Amino acid sequence: VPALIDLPARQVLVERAMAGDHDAFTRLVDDGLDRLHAIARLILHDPDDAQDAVQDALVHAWRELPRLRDSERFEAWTRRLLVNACHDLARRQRRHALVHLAASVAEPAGPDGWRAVDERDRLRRGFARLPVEQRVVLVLVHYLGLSGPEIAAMLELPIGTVRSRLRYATRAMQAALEADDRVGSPLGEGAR
Amino acid sequence: VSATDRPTGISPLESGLRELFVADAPAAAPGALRERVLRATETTEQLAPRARPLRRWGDRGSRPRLLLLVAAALVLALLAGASLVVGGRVRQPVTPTPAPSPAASPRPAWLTGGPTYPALEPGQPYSFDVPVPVTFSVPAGWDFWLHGYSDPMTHAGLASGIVNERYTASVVFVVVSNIYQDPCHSQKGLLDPPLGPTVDDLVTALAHLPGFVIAGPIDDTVGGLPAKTLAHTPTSPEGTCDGANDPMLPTPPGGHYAGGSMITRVLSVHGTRLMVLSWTPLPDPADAAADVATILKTVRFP
Repeated sequence: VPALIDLPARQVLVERAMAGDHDAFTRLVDDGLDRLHAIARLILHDPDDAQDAVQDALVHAWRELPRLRDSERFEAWTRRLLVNACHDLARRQRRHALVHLAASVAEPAGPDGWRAVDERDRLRRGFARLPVEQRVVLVLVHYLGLSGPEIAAMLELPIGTVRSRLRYATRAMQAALEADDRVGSPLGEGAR
Repeated sequence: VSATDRPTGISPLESGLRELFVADAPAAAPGALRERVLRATETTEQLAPRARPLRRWGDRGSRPRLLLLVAAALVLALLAGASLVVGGRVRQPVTPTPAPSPAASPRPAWLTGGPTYPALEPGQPYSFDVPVPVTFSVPAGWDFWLHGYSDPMTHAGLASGIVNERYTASVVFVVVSNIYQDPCHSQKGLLDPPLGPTVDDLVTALAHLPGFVIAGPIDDTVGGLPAKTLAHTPTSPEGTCDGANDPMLPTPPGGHYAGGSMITRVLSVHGTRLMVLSWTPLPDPADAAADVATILKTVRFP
């Protein structure tokens, strides 16, 4: 989803929105909503949760805009607010994950559980098993194409932390796929 | 090698993820979402600009997560050398020692499989089968973290553990038979000659690790068994440790954080020397320590 507003124009809009101009904020929403929604959908899977996260992030952004120090960082800032909103939603819904863990513990792996699946479905299931913070970093790298330093700047994390999260996420993804091979059941679908 | 810094080669997994994300990402947000957002913001008052410098956005969230890496690193610093023989991985329920609670104890749920970090149910007994069979329960806000984790650099040592959902505390059960000479400078290698096999051997080595302010050892008990407890507080400034290329090395990228302490309890569990590690760092050491104490009271070794 390409940005519709060029950077100087966006900065003007951000500064107007920072001064309380809701029309300017509306234009910023129109410019970035599709991308934010796509990110949230990828991280959270659930369409309703994704919409809630986007709304939470943008309401937060509107409220806090006058306190934004650097208008050039508006886009990165809203993405960070979105990631935080995704974390919050996932935290509130952890009990779903517990149910699925219990199911995974109760059902032994075996050849009967195995079934041939489309590779993309297999990846999707593996990804769904990851904790939200690992999903976040994989989406930022492989969907948005951000580099480690860009993610570190966006999330205000040490670069080493970003790198290690990506490594953990990649390893976890590989392990999830291996577990999927062994079990063959979508145990992680509800994990958030 | 940093895969996040413009990787030159794309693995099948990475390319698969990219294709998956492109396929799954909706092209447009629902129109109703736009209306919801605009309605909500129209009725939301903006905050007044701050008169003083803002707190950094990441201040609240980044430090606990960095500390998680520190905790992981310090755990892994101790994962080295030929592991002791540990319990098998047969997934059989363990009957927990009856809890002091008057309520009937449900069967423990096995924590196996990973790598998900599911939330744990407060009061529900859980079990790890490695590195030794152990049961415990947790207060609210704790997650499954590690199971059967082995340091990939040494392929030895074994750990399982839990972490709180704010990533400000962890409890990890670890078996090792050697440790690094200097966890902050892993290139120095492992202790040579290697660590001896007894609890006292490990306690003595831990009591002389460089790079920490060390308290103890003191006599303690874990799960009803006698233990020796030490506290290690890093003295190196944040970011000065090695291991920057891989979190599996003894110190995490970015180095360790000079705050909080790693509490290590060393004991013999049915002949296996076990370390029970807990990391209770800032910013909430009191809360974290209270949670850890609550958990440790429930630990049993069936």
